[in-house]
Amino acid sequence: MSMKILLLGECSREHAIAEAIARSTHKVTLYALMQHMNPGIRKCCKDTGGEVVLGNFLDPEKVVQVVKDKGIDLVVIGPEEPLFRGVVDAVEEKLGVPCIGPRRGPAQIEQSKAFMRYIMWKYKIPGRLRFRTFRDVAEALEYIKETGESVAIKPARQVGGKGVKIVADVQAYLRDVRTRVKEVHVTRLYEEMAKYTDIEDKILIEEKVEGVEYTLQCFTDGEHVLPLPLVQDYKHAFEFSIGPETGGMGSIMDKTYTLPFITPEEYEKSVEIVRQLVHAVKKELGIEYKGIIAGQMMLTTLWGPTIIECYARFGDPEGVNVLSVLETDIVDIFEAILSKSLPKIKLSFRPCAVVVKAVAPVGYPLNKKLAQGHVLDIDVKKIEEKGCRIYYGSVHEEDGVIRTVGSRAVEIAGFGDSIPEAAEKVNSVLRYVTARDWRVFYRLDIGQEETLKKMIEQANIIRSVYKSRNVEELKIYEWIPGKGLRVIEY
Amino acid sequence: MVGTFSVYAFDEVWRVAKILYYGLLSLNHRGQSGCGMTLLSDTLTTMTSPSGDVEHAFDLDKLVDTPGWAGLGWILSAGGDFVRRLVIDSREVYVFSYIPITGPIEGKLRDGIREMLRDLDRGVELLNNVSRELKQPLTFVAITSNGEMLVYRDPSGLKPLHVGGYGFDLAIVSSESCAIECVGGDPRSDVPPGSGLLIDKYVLERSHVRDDKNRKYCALEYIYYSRLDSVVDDVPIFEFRRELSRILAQRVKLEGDVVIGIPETGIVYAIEYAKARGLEYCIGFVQTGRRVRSALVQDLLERLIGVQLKMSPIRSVFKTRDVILVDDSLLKGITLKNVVQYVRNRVGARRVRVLVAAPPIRYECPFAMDIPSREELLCANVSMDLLPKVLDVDEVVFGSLEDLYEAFSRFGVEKDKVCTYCMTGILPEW
Repeated sequence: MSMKILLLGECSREHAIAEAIARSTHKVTLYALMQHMNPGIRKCCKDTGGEVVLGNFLDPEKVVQVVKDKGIDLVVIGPEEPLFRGVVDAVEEKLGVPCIGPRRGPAQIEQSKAFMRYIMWKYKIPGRLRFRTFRDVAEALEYIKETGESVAIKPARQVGGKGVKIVADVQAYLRDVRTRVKEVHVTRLYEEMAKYTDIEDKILIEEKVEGVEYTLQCFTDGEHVLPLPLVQDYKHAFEFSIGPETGGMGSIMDKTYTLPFITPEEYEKSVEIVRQLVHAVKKELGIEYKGIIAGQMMLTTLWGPTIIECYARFGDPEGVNVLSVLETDIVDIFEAILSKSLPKIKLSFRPCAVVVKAVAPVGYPLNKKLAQGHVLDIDVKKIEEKGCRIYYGSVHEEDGVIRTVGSRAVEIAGFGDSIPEAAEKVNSVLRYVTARDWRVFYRLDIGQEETLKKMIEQANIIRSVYKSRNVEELKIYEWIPGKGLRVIEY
Repeated sequence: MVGTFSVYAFDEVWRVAKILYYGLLSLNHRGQSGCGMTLLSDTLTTMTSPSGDVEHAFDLDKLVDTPGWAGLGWILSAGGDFVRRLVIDSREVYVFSYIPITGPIEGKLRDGIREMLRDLDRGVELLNNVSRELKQPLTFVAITSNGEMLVYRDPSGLKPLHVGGYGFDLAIVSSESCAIECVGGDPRSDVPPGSGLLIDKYVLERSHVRDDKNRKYCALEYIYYSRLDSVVDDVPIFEFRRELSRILAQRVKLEGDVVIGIPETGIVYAIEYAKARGLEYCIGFVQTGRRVRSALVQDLLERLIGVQLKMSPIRSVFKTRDVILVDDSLLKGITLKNVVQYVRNRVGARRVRVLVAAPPIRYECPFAMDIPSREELLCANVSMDLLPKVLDVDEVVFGSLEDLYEAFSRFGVEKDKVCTYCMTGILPEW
């Protein structure tokens, strides 16, 4: 009997998941529910004898209906938003069909940045950062005016990875310029957040930390955590890591489990943080977290490995790095998650470095209207000739014509003996993705020797500082003349 | 010498005028004969000042409220038209260039910018050819009324240009990395020679074209001009000067009781030279009033005032001792002569020996680096034998070209990549 799997989602990450499922040695029929016709996912479905259903995968009712109609045995959730809408709860409770992805409660770990920070403090998980949440705009504005320090201003609820503003405010002589920007941003975020009624806190203001970022993605069955190799993604839209925040313009992964700038010890510490988070969720909510969990980590001078954000799914593009070279049968992993027997899984990957780069239409990320509806010409043959693989993202195919939807249109993965080698392979084929009467952009610098060298240098500096601290009793002493000593205990 | 500091905010909520002010302030060492900024909001607005002193050129209190989410800033020293308003394809364009924009250059610049706006790679290619043809480092930054910022660095790379970022909000282009750090940004990369950038609201495009055949490093930029906390083309300025001092200490064994640096640029050389020689280093002078880079002041009287205010000697350091004075370079010799007279005749130093880190400078710079004319350069007009007498010192020793090349080589820069025209009169190949 063939196993029928339904995949929710429509971007490059889901294309990579679909490909991994289609590779399975189990007899699998793959279905996918999406709003835009992703040609890559459609092909994977077709190859297994399944098909694509076009429809709103964020709507639990719709998902339940498709699961019933197609006689689905397992649902795999790609992006985070269906998790927040309770899709897993609906499918599992109403139909008893298992899902790969946490229920709505545990998914709060991503949905609510405040929840994540709260349980980190409550359960004393290493890598805690000082934060405050605000429900009221006036209060937030006052706080900003009073403190004037380097902060990360984030929407308290995940809004598609957007809305984070990092304002370094060390230079007193530029405080007024920055205070103004912080104020305007807080006001804008409140307006944005008014759309969401599923969360009370609106804004989270967190101490800004600096350092080298990386992502640790893991499978988890609620008890065990099975960590994957580290991936580093690049959030800035443009070359030199300049420009607005995107979902990620590219990501790098090495041949080993760590990265050239992260030590095995730091890798272990990062895994430990994620493991403790998974256990804390269960203690706090009484519901187990199952599926994929990812820590957006940063090596900071305060803690060393520190968690900045948490994902309840694979990163995009980070998911593509690991899935494109995953040799272990992903359906075996899914079964182990459901039967809580993850430790019996031996992970194996094609032994190579993987660099993934996104190609986006100009307009992304600040003006997606401008970025949508453009016809793409993609020379898949040329891309594959170089040993690269293409993963379709935010596109819609109709009558053989592929149009942009507004976000990152495709991701291309390149493989090599080293990160720079893989990067050069991708760089050599990026020009085979073009838009008619429009421009696309991508980043050449990701994974290049120069970029890596700077990361290694930066990590070495951070390492020498955090190693000099005793994180067991992490305390920061603030001396304000006239007001006395304030001890901040972590 | 001139400098630029420019900012582009991808989020229009920013008002960048005050950021430009502090950027320019930290580049004030690059020029003191005028500065200005062009700010972009709905239109381009330009503020210029004949004052080279950034602190007095702008009304700081007003800048925080001055509209403009992008801006081009500049700082000038000697005369010459380094900034020009052009109209290109119905846009207003303000351009700052490292070389004076004379008649023929203006036309080429206009063509290059027009082409960059249409097709970045072709524009950069055109400009690379123009730079080679003119044998001039036509490096520039421009801002347009359409919301574009253009950055071009010529194939020689003689003029420094760095890009950086601030959070997810700002792109910053600066002559030196120190200014990017001053405003809280992160220096990211030198603009590769023979390449260009086009920044607009939705994209930062980097030219695929990159042409650094015959790439050159300006020796004076490293010896003297750039600020100690800058890193120029991957060479940390402070470390370069320390390295050069150590090399000098191995070869030049001057005798004396104490080593004293001529403020400000001579101090690093003095400290490292003394340390490497096992001699005592001492502060010799105290500054009165605000800092003036005396070598950049044109008027002789102004210059003397600058020198004298900068250097009030501490008597006990000099009195009846043999001193070694160290400076970075010797141009007109006014500063040094003045200091020597002071420490000899008024403060009573017994013997005065001088070490100059740079080799003798004898030629005017053909690339708009502020070097006095040949008639004014001491070493171009006075023989080495006569020099101690003219300066009224016991001995003067210069760093040699070999010392200089050795210092560069320790940072991976080969000898033939160093432009030493002002010392040798040999033009670099284009």
